[in-house]
Amino acid sequence: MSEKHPIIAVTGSSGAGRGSVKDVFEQIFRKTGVLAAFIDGESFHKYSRAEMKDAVAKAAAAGNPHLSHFGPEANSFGELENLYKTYGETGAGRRRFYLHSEADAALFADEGLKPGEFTPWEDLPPDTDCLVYEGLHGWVKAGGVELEPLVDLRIGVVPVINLEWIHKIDRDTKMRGYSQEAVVDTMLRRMHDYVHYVIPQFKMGDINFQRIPVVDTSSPMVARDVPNEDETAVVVRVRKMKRFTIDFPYLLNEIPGSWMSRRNSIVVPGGKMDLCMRLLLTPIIEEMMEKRKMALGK
Amino acid sequence: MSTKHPIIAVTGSSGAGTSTVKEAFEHIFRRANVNPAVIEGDSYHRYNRMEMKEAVAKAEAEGNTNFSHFGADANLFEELAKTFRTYGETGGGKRRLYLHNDEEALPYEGLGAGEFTPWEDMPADTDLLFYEGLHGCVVTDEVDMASATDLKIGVVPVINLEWIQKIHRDTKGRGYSEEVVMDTILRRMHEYVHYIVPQFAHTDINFQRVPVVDTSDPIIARDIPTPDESLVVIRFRNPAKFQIDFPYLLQMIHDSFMSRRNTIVVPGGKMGLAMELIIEPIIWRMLDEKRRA
Repeated sequence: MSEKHPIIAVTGSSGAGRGSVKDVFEQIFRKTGVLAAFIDGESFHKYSRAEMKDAVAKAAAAGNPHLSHFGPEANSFGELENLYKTYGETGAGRRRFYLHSEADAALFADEGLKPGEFTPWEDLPPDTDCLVYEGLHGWVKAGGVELEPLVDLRIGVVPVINLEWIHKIDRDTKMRGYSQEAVVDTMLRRMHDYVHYVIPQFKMGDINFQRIPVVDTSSPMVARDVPNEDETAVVVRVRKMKRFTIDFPYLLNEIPGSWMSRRNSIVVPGGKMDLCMRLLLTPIIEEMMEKRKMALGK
Repeated sequence: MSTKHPIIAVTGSSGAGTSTVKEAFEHIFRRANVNPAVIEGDSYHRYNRMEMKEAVAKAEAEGNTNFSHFGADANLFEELAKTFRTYGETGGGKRRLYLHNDEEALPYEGLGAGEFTPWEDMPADTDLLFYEGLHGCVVTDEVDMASATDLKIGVVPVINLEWIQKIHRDTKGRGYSEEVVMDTILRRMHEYVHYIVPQFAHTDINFQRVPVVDTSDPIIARDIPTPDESLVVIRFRNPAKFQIDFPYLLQMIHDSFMSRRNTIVVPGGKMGLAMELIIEPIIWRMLDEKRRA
């Protein structure tokens, strides 16, 4: 925790709308004049794409079928911890990027980098107001590393498991050309790490956004139509109501079709998730920046 | 499929609301004066409780950690398929009971909890067969339950809710630790995905409970979401087949809404009402056709 150099972590699976969370943050930052340094969870993978293939094959041969990007063996959680600590203390630190695609890699063609590889470590831009992590392990606890106390605002973005499976199967079969059986096998192989390293983080999320379907997803392996936004709702839960100023009546007023399901939980129509995030997070970010100013004596 | 001797199969995991389903059907059967032959999925387990423990240990020793009640090896799928076939043709067949607890075992001398009663003839002159269990719609290379039954109903919550319910029941009710229950869930996941889940693509009507409170960490969720904290998504594979009258349902079930052309969403507490409104006319028609046949 650092008032001078606050850290925001967004934890969730990539198909869960984590991308749109980044857009929302960028919008809020633009509006409030906040300069943020973004870091990507995948840049803390231990292995490049090619190395990971080898590592999985090697682990499988050694009798461990569970090696996956969800667990500590395939990630450098220690590096992430270092970055959180350094940034919290000094506002500086080092980051790198993971090149997801040909388009990403084209920007680094001069350096001879290919998709699935990492860029060299570099310094964060100077004088940023906050650090924003986006990935699977924002406040993970594993292998002696415990990130939760270092993060100032923890946002969980995760769909119910049925939706997560549908999205993964749809993406990997349609866009990446895998067979359905191969995707299901991969999901089952990674399930152990998912349950032990990814899921436990959500109990510590300050605010969780969980997408739920309002169409039948009871056979996610054969769901032909992936539910669209309007066929979902989003459950938004605030963990410690006292930590943040959350004005539920205001949200209920501003978000058509929203309603309270528990004293700390509001349900909004699927298409209103971005609006809800903006309304909910803007005052929290503003408050965070006020505190930062005071701490810096400005 | 049999007009003379129809078969209803309710497929779903225990704790998924199967007791609501049972009650709804009891009400409907009483009102329609139906005399059903009831069979339970558990009575088609291959092993009794003791034998199952040994079979799990043996499978593990042989390197198979996935052995569970979800899969083909631990169940008598062919017996169940035969029961469906025989009943459809003759209106008769054999059944047995699985004695879940001491109370159920009490009337059977020499039998204890976790054992089966001997196979016996089903009662004579029943109007229909009612199956309730995990495997009412299993389709494998050897058996095809789905095409043997006349009305297929799936009752299953989203997975997060299913885990919460299982963890709650096994930690509070049976004294296991959360880790042990989660290990069991993971151990059975392979067969759950390969045998249980695919059935819900064959069912005529699915009732799927969806929580409207945060269940993103199902392992530590302290309270099971109440009916008021959930919705039920009801999907009809072919609404015309059962002459489903959606405007009527929307009027009768407060706060219900359509989410797809074949899907209605109702508040969690209205699941029983929705079932009775939906299923009763289907049963009436089933009986009508039976009489004419």
